[in-house]
Amino acid sequence: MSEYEAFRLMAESRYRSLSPLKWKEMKDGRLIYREELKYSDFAMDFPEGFEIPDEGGFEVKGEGGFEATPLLSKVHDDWVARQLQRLSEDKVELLSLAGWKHGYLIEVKSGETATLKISLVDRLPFRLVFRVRKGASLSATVVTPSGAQHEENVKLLASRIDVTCEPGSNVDIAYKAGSSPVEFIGFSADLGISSSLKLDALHVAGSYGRHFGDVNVGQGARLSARVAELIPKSSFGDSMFNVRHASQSESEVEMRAAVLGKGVIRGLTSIPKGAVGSNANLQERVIMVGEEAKAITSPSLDIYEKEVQARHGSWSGRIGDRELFYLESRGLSEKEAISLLIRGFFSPFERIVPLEEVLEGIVLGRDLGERSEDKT
Amino acid sequence: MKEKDILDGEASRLEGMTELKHLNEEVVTSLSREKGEPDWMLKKRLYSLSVFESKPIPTWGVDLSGLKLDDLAYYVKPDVEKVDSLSDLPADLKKTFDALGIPEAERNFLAGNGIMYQSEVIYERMKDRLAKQGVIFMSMDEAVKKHPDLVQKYFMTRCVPPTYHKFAALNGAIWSGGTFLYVPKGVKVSMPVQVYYLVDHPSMGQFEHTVIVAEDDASVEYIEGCSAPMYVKGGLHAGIMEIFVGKRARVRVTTIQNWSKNIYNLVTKRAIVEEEGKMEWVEASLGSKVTMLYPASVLAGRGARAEHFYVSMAGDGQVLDTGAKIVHAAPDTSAYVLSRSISKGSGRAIYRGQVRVNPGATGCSSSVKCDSLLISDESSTATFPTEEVYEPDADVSHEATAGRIAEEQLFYLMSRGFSEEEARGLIVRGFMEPVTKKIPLEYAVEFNKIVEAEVKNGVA
Repeated sequence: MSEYEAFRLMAESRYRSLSPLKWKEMKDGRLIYREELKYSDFAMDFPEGFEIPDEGGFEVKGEGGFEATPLLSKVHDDWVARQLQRLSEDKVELLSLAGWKHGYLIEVKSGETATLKISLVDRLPFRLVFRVRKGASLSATVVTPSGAQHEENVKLLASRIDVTCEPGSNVDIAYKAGSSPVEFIGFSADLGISSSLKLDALHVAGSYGRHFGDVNVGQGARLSARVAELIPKSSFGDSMFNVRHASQSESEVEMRAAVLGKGVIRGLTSIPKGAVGSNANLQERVIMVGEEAKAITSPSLDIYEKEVQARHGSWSGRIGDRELFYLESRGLSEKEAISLLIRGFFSPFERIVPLEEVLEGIVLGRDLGERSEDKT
Repeated sequence: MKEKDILDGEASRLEGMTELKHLNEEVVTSLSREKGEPDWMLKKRLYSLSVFESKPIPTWGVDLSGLKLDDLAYYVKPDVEKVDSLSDLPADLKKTFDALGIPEAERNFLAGNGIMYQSEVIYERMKDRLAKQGVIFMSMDEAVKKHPDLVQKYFMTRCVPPTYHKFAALNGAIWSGGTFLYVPKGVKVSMPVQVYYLVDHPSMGQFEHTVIVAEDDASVEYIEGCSAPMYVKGGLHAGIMEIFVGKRARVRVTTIQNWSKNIYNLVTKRAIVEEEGKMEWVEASLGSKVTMLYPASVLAGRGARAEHFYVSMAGDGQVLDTGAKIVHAAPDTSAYVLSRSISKGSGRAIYRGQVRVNPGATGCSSSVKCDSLLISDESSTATFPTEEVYEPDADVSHEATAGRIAEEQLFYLMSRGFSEEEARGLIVRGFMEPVTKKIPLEYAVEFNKIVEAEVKNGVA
């Protein structure tokens, strides 16, 4: 048995040993616990029906001092094995740990600079492990195929991106994922001393989507994360972002969601004892569009150190009638006006949210298209 | 077994007091018979007991493993007969209440005044003028006998049913004492009504049950103070407060909680607010070992409003977990929550709140602000807000900050001639001011003194 197989079996058995996945769902406006999200409903019980094609995968393009190696060839490396074996108690995460075949280890050499674009040609569960060495800097964009046309045979995607920023490194990552019927994506990062990470993430929920972020901000490190969530009509999206601080570290997390279906936006910033001089800010903004939108927000702080500054805030609301009226009075149609206002809402996210395509195609296309049909 | 036997057999004597221990059906029945309650109340108690036994101790919040339910005295009959005047109280109790300034307060600014000692209300008095207007202010036990219809209508029905949670059920089974305050239609009680709770027992549970009803267009303010001397063993306070705010009515409840630092304070407070009614909660938490206090406002009528003001100070070994629970169940309702907490020593102050906007509750707005201040190295704080918005036409926001006293502020005050201690005291008082100014002046002065003393201790 190869080490990859062994690892996969380990994650799978761990997955099976945990109690059934309880999935929060809202019904008639109330949050209920569904007994189990039945993978069989989606023909994806594990491992039956969870076949990963051997072919297909990535395109890694870029310049600068980096090295991209297929992950499967690197499972013998101790460091890589450690990265791969960080088993958690979370079933969804375990699924993504166990269910991959395609992945890359991307290493940026010490002191070098690299610019990368990683495109997924096929919709596959994938793993990406970034290792940015001391003093290096990396700018990477990860793009999955546009959600509008999902492959019929792959119903479940569970992918992960893990980033290790060694001391003094400077990393800028943007990724876009989502819109398979059921898609989970996990992101984790360890920030070494005085490193910095800028993250822009966009997640488009399919029928069920879960987006899970987990960042350890090391001593003197700085995290700036912007997480955007688009939850189309009759979709359910759950987005969570956890941050843990070390001393003199800084984090700025901004989560924004446009919700047409049902959305759960959660954030937790923990400042343990000893993380002196930490500075944390966690903001959640949810805009609800349409009659069916429902949202739960929960920005939490947990602080055990007094020499810190921490803030959090959340807002949920809908597009204001006044703004809509103003734009419509200027000759825009309702659809155009809503689209413009959502674009405004996401303006700080311009880099990652390909606004035209995503908003028109996924969010507004479905929603307003149906509505205008109803009217006619 | 006869009731008398149960009382004598099961209970031990503590300085002439009767205790009830070991909660079971017999004990509950005998308590109910002893109090001469009607059958429906006994049924309610027994039903609550079955709910209590069927529910596990909640584990989602503060660690309650230190709570030893088996060691508690569930009912302690005080060795003091009910008195008509404060001057008739036994000398030691009278001294305590004099020190607390209660007789003076009664003369000067209270419409009604009550005292609950151990498990019974031992004194209550209301201005005659109000009695003539139909205001009812009496102990719950008495109200069950004198106004059975009213009590049956409001007692653990739609506001806090026994199934609400484990400790609500416990209260339903073994409740004793508490207040029934009924303000008829259109009556405005201009001066506050106050009840003082005192526990003086090594390990007892106090389970008072208060119901406040303000009919349409009525208004009333209710103040409660709690304290207990320090004993080696801990106790439990699991009171219930049910409030019904009628159309255009207004109710304000102020609680100043200063239990000894070994009491588990797990209270349930819930208000149902009808059309254009207004509910105000002012909660000052200083004492107790563990507090889990989440006053709830159900905004059931169009245009209803709730305001929650909390201030808490968690000292050494204390965990004060407070928060607001707001349900927007009708259109155009609004809520405002302001929480200020201070953690010192190894204390932990937590804000845990929930705002829910039900489907169809259009045009609601909710704003939650909570700030925490950490003033010692060992202290900690947390904020766990949840906003569930099931109606797109709503405006819900949450804001919070956490941190320490800013060096610049300290430096500024010290440059103006304050000592560091004074400067800290001043900053802390300023931090709490938006909430403390909601507390009636007489209490606010006292409260500020306590806070200042605590801050000085904390710093020293």
